[in-house]
Amino acid sequence: MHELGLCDAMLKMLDKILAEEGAADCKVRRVVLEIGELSGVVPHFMEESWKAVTDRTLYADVLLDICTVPGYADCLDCGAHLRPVQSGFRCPGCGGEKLKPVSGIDMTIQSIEVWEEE
Amino acid sequence: MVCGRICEDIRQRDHFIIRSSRKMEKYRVIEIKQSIFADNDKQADILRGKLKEKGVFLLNLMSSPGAGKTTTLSRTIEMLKSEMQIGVMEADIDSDVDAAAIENYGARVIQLHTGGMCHLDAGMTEQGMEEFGVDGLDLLVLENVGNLVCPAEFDTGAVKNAMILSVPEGHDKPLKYPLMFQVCDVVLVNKVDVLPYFDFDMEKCVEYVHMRNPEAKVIPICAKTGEGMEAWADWLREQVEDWKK
Repeated sequence: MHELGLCDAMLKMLDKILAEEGAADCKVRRVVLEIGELSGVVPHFMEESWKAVTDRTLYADVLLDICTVPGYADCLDCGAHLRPVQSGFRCPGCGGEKLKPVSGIDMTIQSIEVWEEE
Repeated sequence: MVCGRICEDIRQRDHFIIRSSRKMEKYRVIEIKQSIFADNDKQADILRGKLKEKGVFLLNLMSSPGAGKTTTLSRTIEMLKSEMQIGVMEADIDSDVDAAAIENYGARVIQLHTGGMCHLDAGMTEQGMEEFGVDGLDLLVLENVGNLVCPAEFDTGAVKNAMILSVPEGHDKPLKYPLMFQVCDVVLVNKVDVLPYFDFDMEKCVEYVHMRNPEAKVIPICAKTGEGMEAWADWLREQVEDWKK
C-alpha cells in the first residue's frame, strides 16, 4: 500500500500549488492525475488511499480523475524500443530481460479545478 | 501557470458562472503537469548541496524489516569509528530500540518517528538533521523504515543509497521490488553464513540486481561473523573520501 504515502505527498503538493496560485481559499472540485503504467502505482489503490487520506479534510469531496498512460522501455541488449506490459517484460525481438524504462514511470498532477470568487 | 480555460463538460452544463447566495463564483482550471515527486526531488537536491558544503556524506540505508540493518550498522561503526565521525539517524514508525542498540557502539544517534508513515522524504530528513546537528560529521547514516517499496520512491537527499537483502528473503527479490534495486548504488547480501540452509542462488541474485541496475555493486556479507565486512567498509571509506574532495 505505498499509494498511501503517495497520496500524502500529493496533498502536500496541492496545498503548495493552491497557495502559489492564490487559490488557497477556493473550493477544489476535481484533480486530474496521470499515472504511468510502469510507475508501480495501482490506480484502484490510489483511489482508495485518496478517500482515506482526504477523509474529514477540505479535500473530502474532491473528484480524483485518474488516467493511465502507456510506458515504454529500451532493451539494453539489442536497443529495441518496446512496451513491457505487452511483451511480458521481455524484449519481443531478442528475448532480453534487461529493460530500461524510459516513459510511463511517473505520476503527475495534470490539473486542479477550483471554484473561485468573481 | 494559470490558463483560465474552462473545462468542456462544465461549459456544456452551463455551470460556467453560478450565482451563490452571497457571491459570484467562477470555475478555474489550474494546469500543473508536474510529477508528484517534483517538490521532493527539488528539496533533495538542495539538501545534497548543503551536505557537500559541510563535507558530510549521507548514506540512505534501506531493507525489509529484519534483514539486518541495525546489526550491519553496529559492525560498521565498530570498524570505522576510529577513522571518522559517524552519526546515525534511526527512522522507525515507533519505538527507540534500534537507537539504543546503535548508541552502545559509540556513534551519535537520533531517533526519528515517522508517525505511521512508511518512508522518509527529503523534508523529514532535513528536519531530522537540523535537530541532530551534523556539523563535524564525516559519515551520516539514515536507517530508513524497513520496507522495500515506499522508501525507494522518495529521494531523501542522500549522496548514495544502499540496501540490505538477507539470504532468507530469497534471490528473486530484485524481480519483485524492481525500483528498490534500481535506485541502489550498493546491495549488501547479508547472512551468508546461513546459505547452506536456503535455496539462495548468489549468481542469480547478482544477475537480477544488474537487470535492474547494471551499475549496482553487490557485496556478500555476514554482519554477525564479520565476513565480507571489510569490502563494505572499503566502499564506504572511498565514498566518504570522494565526497569531501
